Formats: sequence, structure tokens, C-alpha cells
Amino acid sequence: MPPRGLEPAGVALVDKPSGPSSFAVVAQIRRMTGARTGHAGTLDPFATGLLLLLSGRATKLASCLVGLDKRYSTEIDLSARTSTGDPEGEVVARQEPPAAGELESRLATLRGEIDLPIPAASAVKIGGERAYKLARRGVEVEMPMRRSTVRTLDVISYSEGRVVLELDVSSGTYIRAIADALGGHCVTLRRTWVGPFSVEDAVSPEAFSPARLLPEREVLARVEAARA
Amino acid sequence: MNVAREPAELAPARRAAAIGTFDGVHLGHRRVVEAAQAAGLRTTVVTFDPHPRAVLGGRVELLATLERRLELLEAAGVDDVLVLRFDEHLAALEAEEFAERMLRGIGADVIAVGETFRFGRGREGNLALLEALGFDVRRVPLLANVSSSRIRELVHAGEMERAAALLGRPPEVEGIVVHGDGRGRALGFPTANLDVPAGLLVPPDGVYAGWTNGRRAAVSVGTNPQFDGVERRVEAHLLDFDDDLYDQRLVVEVWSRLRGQMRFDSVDDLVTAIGDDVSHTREAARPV
Repeated sequence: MPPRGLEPAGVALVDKPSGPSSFAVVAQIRRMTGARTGHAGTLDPFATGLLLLLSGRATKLASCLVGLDKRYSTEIDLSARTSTGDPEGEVVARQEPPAAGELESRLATLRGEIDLPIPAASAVKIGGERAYKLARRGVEVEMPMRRSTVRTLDVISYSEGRVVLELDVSSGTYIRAIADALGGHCVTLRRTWVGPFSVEDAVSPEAFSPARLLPEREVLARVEAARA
Repeated sequence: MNVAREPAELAPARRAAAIGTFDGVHLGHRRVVEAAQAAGLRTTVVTFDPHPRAVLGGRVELLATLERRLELLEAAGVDDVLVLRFDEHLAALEAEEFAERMLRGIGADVIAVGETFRFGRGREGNLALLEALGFDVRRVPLLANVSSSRIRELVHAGEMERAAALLGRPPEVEGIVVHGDGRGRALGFPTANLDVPAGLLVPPDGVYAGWTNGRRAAVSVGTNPQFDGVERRVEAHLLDFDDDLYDQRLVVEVWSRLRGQMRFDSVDDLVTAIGDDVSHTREAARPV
């Protein structure tokens, strides 16, 4: 079996809609190009926003793109926690949303370097079964901790138990874990930046064409400029 | 099931690869294999021998030999296994080069791994890197408390039933049957003496109810204190069996701990105790 194509090469900025998995978007683009295609950072199916897709030879940029910081905006429902920290899980606890002052003190504990458990994955299927369903059947899922850096965590609005946050975080930070630590779950999640790349320059998967691929040289230059 | 030692030995195919050391092929390992099987491609396990932690300077008592690991993977329905020799060269391979040669090189499109899997030099490679490289990564969350290390601790503590619950089958000890002192036969309880491979985990000294070669077996681990033995041995008395097993490989399931090793006041007392061990073995239930 011949290896998948190394052309067209480049990085695509795609705005993932809510619904499909990141891998489904990868597969969609791969069908169009016929090239080996990767992505630098999973978005859960319910989430939207910027996916960096690496096409063909540009998959070689993997190691310099997977560690980039991310920016998200999210709406969190503080009246209920779910098994996955997102709307796909089961409600595991309900409570009165906190007062604004209490919310602010909870947020204060989540800024800087923090350790959070990796949340039960809503997107993962194990043997055809979703991970959180295994958890529900009593096959307890113990999640390892992960260290994250939350550089900024700003409240955009807070009303009726729903808070909209904007966050700048290190690579590998689970926003669902932050929602859970706040006592709620993500209702919506949108990734607006990956390193120096903005979702404003992204296209929907349907609107993608190989002509939209950023050349590897330009991608590297922008990443390096952002580091400087 | 085909077993290859080099990527090039595997026939070209689109594969779903499950990667891990998989010592003991416990419940968590089987979930990783199942995640690969769910992809509907040729299920291929990429595994390491010797145990990476042993090569990197740690001490690891294996739950199972490589031969047994391969049998268990075959029983789990795996199509092919690539056994990579874990040495300084492999440990020094850059993560991306590992992925290109060992995963892309065997035609793996789908990769199933445990959530915390790391690979390549300095353990720098992770699941995000595999995704960026264009693999379809199936992350398998860890199961609570199910780890080879935890199972080793339980076996060390003689807690066979709890170890079995995490393994999904009873703990085992294996070896080739060698000639012993003939002492068991003289007492009326002939035993198969196992030459256990170095590095394999053996339960603590004591007497256990178990199963091997299609029979219940009373299994003794220890130095034969009654006869001032020094060498630690594993012996199995197979119930209702009186044949010769010399030079055969026996895999002995160790079901439950019956008692510790002790020195009795007389050989007659020892024979009575062994008689009790045999009746307890006859009544023992297989955990799991």
C-alpha cells in the first residue's frame, strides 16, 4: 500500500462546526486533497472554532505546532456539573449558581499554573462505547492530572447562572476541566486562536480548497515571529 | 496471528495499531486493543521487549513472559504483532522518527493508545503529536486502579482474587517442568517442579489453590522449610493426575492463597497439612 500523498503541502485554517469530531473534519479535507492530513490539537465534537490542519509534507511541522498556546471563549452553565464537563455528558450534580463574588474567588484559584484532572472524554469510544457510558456502568474511569497554565481568564458576562469566559491557556489545557472545577459544564466552546493563527482567517470545511493552504515557510515564520 | 520483529516483516496493509508494553494483557490493555479493533482495519499490536522500564534502569518483575503475552493477544483476536526490541537505540529514536518508521512504516492509519502514552526520546512524543502527524488517534482513558504496577503489588501481597479482578483472569506463573528432589512423590504428593524464567513475578512464599494442564493443582512457592531448603521453588501437585510432565511448559493459574510456608513438628504433620491443602484446592473457586 503506497503511503498517502505528500502533496498538496501546507497548513489549513478551518473553522470546525459543532457536531463532527476533529478527525471527521480531517477525513473530509483528506478526501478532497488525497494527502496525508493531521491536525494540531483536538476540538471536542460539540466545540467550534479553529483547527490547524497539516496537509502532506507539512505534517512534518507537527512538533512545532502541537505545543502552541490557545485562546477560547466558552459559556459555562454553573447550575449543573456533567460527567464530561460538556453538554454531551450526564448531569451528575445540580446546585444554585454562585454569587458574582463567589465566582470571582473560584476563578482566582484557576489562574496561573494549575493541576486539573483530564476530564472523561466525551468524544472517545472504547470498543464502540463512549467513555462516559463506561463510567456510568460502574467501570470507573480514573483520570490522570495534567498541569496547565492559564494566562488569562476573563469574565465577559455573567447572568442567570451562565458565565461567558475568555481564556488564554497553554497547550493541552482542557476547558471542560476548568468548567468542572468552577462547578459547572461547558455549554458552548469556541477556539479563537492557536498561537499566531486566528479563526477569523479560517474557512468552513466545505469552503476549503487546496489554494487556501498556507505554505510551510510562512507558517514557520509566523510561529517564530510570535515566539520572539 | 503473525509475529514480526521488524516493521518490514509485516505484509502491506491498512492497520489499526494498539501500542504499549501490555505486560500481563490486563483489562486496561484489552480496552486499548478493543479500541483498535473497533476501527475495522487489520488489528496490529506494537509492543516492546524487554520491558522499557527495565532497560531504562528500573527493576520490573513481569506479570507474564513475552510468549504468554503473545498468546493472550492472539486470544484477544489481534491479527499481527510487531515486537520491537527495546534497547538504547530505540529509546534514543526521536518521537517523529519512531512514528514514521514503526507506525507509518507498517501502514497504521489508526493508533489506539492509553491516555498517558508517551514515546520516543525523552518520552517527548504524545497523542497530540500523533494526531498532528496525520494518524487517527483513539485515546483510551485509564481504568481506575488498573495498572500492571498495581497488579504486581496485589500479587506480592498474596491477594490473588483482587489481582485477578484487574487482570480479567487469575494471575499466572509459568515455567518448564524440571526434575526435583522427588520428595513430594515420597510423601504421596508428586509435584511438577517449575523452572521459572528470570524476571517473572512469583507470588510470595506459601501454598495456593490453582489450575494447570486442565487440572486443579495445589501450588507451593518457597524453600521447603521442612527440609532446610534454600532455593526458592514453584511446585504444583496436580490433582487426580499421575503422569510425567518433564520438559513441558506449564502455565499455572494461581487462584487463591491457602496458607504460608511453615515447618511442622513432624513429616506426618506436613503430610496432614498437604492433605488439607489438596481438599481446599478441590473446593476452591476460580476468581473472575
